[in-house]
Amino acid sequence: MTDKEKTANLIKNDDTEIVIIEEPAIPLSDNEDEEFESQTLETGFAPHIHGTDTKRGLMLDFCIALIPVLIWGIMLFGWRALILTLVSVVFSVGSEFLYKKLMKEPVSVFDFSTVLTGMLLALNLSIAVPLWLVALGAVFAVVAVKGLLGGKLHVFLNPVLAARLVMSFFNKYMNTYTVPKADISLFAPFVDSASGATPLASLKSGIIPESPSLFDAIIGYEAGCIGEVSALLLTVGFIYLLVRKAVSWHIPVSYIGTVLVLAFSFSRSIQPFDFALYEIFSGGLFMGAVFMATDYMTSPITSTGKLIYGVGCGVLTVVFRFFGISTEGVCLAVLIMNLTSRYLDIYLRPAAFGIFKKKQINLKLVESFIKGINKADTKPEAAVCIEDSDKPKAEAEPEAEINAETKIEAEPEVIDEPSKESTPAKQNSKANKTSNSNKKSGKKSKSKKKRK
Amino acid sequence: MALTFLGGIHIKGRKNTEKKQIEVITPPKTVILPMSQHMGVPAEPCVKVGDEVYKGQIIGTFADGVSSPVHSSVSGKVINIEERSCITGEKTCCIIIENDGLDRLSPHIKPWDKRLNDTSFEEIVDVIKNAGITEISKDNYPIYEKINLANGKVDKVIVNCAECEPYISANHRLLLENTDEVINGLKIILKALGVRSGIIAVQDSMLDAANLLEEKLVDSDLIKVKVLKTKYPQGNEHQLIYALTGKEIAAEKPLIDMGYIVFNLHTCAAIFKAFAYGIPLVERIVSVDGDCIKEPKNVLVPMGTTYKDLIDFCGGFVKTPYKLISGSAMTGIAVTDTEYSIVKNTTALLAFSKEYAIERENVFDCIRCGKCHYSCPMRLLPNYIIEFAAAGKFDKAEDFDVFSCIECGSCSYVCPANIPIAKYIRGAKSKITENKEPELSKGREEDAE
Repeated sequence: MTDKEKTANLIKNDDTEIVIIEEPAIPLSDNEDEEFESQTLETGFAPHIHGTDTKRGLMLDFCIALIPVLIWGIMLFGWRALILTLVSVVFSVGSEFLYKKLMKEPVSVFDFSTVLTGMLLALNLSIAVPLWLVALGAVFAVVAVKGLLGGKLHVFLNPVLAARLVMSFFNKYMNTYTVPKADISLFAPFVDSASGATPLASLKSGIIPESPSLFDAIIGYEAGCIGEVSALLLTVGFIYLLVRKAVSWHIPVSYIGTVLVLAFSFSRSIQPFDFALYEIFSGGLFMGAVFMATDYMTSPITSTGKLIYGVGCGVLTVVFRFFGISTEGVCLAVLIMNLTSRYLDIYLRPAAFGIFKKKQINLKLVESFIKGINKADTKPEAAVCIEDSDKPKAEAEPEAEINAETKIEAEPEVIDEPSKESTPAKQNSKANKTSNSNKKSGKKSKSKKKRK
Repeated sequence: MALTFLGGIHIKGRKNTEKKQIEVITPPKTVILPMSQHMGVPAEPCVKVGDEVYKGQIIGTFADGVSSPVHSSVSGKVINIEERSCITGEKTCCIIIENDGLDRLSPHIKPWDKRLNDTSFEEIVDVIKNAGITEISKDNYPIYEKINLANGKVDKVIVNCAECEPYISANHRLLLENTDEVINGLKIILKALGVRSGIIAVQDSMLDAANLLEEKLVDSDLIKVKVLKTKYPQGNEHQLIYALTGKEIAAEKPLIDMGYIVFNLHTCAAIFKAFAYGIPLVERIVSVDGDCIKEPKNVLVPMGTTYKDLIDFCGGFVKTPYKLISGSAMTGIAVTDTEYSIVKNTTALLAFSKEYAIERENVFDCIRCGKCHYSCPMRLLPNYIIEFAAAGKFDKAEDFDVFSCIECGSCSYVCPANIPIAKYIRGAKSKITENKEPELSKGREEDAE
C-alpha cells in the first residue's frame, strides 16, 4: 500500500511540476508573436536557398542551341523548313496539352520540353516529308512515347527517334533527301523531284563522293535532313551547351570518336582517312551525338556509363551503316542504346566516396576461393568438394542450412551442430554434397519447367 | 592550383559582412543559457534562483559521462531556471540570468601562468575541460574528450577555416583580426597531442587572411598554410582531408583512426583565450546577414543572447522575414521564434525574405539531368536513391550507399526540377533505420522460400 501511495504521490508531483513548467511558457510565446510577427516565420528543410538552374532554363538552352541549325536549314532548303518545324512544334505542344488535360495531370507545356521535342523532330526530317506525316509523328512522339510509354515512370526511348522510326515506314517520303536550294513549293504534300543521295550512299559502296567536298560536308552544303547537315553549326550548339553546363562532353565525344576510329580502321576505301572523315561529317551523326544521344531521360548519368553508352552508339552506328540496308544507322543505334542506359547507371555506378566496393568484392571472392581450397586440402572427400566448390558459395550456404534440417531424420546425432558456426568440415562437405545434389535436381526441374 | 575535392557546387558568396570589422554587442539585459549546448549529457545546474553570478562562473557542472560545463556569460542575478525548447525541438533546462551590466569577472579566472613547454597533457586537457570548449560544428562534441580520444593516434592536426556557405564571414574576420589567437590555439593543441605537423586550411576567397597567416608563420616549420578552392561543402571534414591529402575516408569512419584530427578555428581561438586570459567559452562571433537585416554584421556575442537582442543590435528587420535560419543557409535550421538563444555552435543567424528562401512550388518529375550526381561530394546517385525510396525499395537505396550521404544539400540546391532531394534522402535514411530489424527478417523469410 505504501508503495502505491508513493507512486501516486510521485505522479502527483510530476503533474504539478509539469504544470509549473508549462504555465510560464504560454504567455511568453504569445508576447513574442505580437512583437515580432513570428507567425509569419516559416520552417522548412535545409537547404534554404536554391540554385538558378530550372527545368525550363535547361530546355530553353537546348532550343537556343538548335536555332543556328534551324536558320541554316531554312537558308539551305527554303521556308518550308520553318513551316515543317512550326507544324511539328504546334502539334507536339497541342497534343501534350490535350493529353495532360485528359489524364488530369498538371499541364507543363510552358517548360519548353515539348517545344524541344517538336523542334528536334522537324530537324530530323527530310524537307520532302509531307506535313500531315510531320503532325502525325509529333503526336506519336508526345502521346505514345512520352506519355503512354513513359507514363509515371521515366521515358526510356527517345521520343523523337521513336517517332522517326515509326514514320520511316512511310518509306517513300522519309528516305528521300533533297539537294540544297531546290525549288520546293511551301505546302506541297510531298516532293518527288530533286532528290539527291547523301554522301553516305556512295560511302557504302566504298567510293568517296565528289559532289559535296569535305568542306561542304562540314559546313553543311549537302543533301540530308533539315537539321543534320551542318556539322559545324551543331558543334557550335554543342559548345554552347557545354558552356551552359547543360550537357557533359562524354557522350558526343565518345560517340563521334568511336565512329571515326572504326570507320578509319575498317575503311572500305583506299583513302581510309578521307573515308572516316566523310563518315562522321555526313549523315545524322553530329545531330545524333549532340542532341539525340544526350537526351536526359534516355541517357545514363554516370560518366563511365556515358562513355560506354557513347561507344556503344558508335559501334552500332557503324554496324548499321556498313551492313544494314539503309545508308543511315544513327537513329536505330541510339534507340537501342537507350534501352541500356538505366542498366549502365546501376551496374557501373561509381562507389561512394570513401567506400572501396571493388576491393571488398574481390576480398570476398578470394576468401571463398581460399575456403574452398582449404576444404580440399583437409579432407579425403576433397575430390568431390573441388568440383562442388566451383559453384558460387553464396548460393550453397543457405541451402546447406536447409539440408541440414532435412537431414535430421537420418542422423539424430548432429541435430544441433550444423546450426553452430564451427561446423566440422565433414558435415560441411556432406551438406555441400547434398545441397549440390539438390541443386542439380532443382536445376533440372527448373530446366524442365523452362522446356515446358 | 587550389586544392579541392570531387563534386560540390559553387554558391555565390553574397558575404555582406566580409569587409566589416567584428563588433561587440551592447550587453543584453537577460541571457538564456541552455544546459545542453554540447553533444552528450546535459550539464547540471549548480546555482539557485536569486543567486548572484559572475561572468565566467560555472553555473552548470559536469554530469556523468561525456559532458561539458556551462559558464555564465554575464554578471548578474539568476532570475529563473526552467525547461525550454531549443531549436532542435527538444526541451532542455535553461538558466536565465539578468545582466547587471557591471561585467564582473569571476575571481577564479586567472591566466595560465606556466610556460607551454612545462605544461603536461593532463593539465592542458583539464584547462580545456573546465573552460567548457566544444567543437563548433553540427555535432558539438566536447573538445577535451576529442583530444583524449585522439591522444597518441593522430599525426596531423588540421584547422578548418573553410567557409564555403554564402552569407557567413565569421571565420574570415576572425582570421584577419585575431590571427594570433588561432595560431597559438593550434600550438597548444599540437603540444597537447605531441604532434609536430599542423595545417591551417583556408579558402582562396580569403587570400588576404592566408597572406597574413603566412607572414606570421614564415619561420615556423610546425604549421603550414594551405589554400583550398572555394567550393561547397569544403568545410566538411572528409572533403577537407581529401582536398589536403588526396585520401578518401568513408563518411562513417572516424578520422582519428586515419591519423587526422580537425578543429574549427573558433575552437582554437577559444582554447587560446582559456590559457591566455583564463576566460572560458562565454562568447562567440556570429554572422548576422540576409536581405531582411538592416545592417549585416559580424557580432561578438555572449552565449545565451536571444536572437531578438542580436537582430535588434543589427538594426532590426527591413522587411518581414519569411525564414529565420540558425546556422548556414545550406544546413541550418529554420526557427519560428526569436526567443531562442545563441549557443556554442551557432555560427550565423540569417533572415531571408520570401524571394530568397521560398521553397520551389512546382516540383516536376525527375528529368534525369544528372546534376545531383555531379554535385554530390560523396559520388552518390541521388535521383536513383529517391526513386527507390519512393517505391519502398529501401534495401536498394541502402545498396546505393544512402548512408554515405552527408546531407550537405547540394543535390537539392542544383535540382532543376525543384525536387527536395536532400529532404527525401533524409527521410529514407530514418525510415531504413526504423525498419531495419523487421526488414531483415522479411528478407530472410524470402530467402528461405
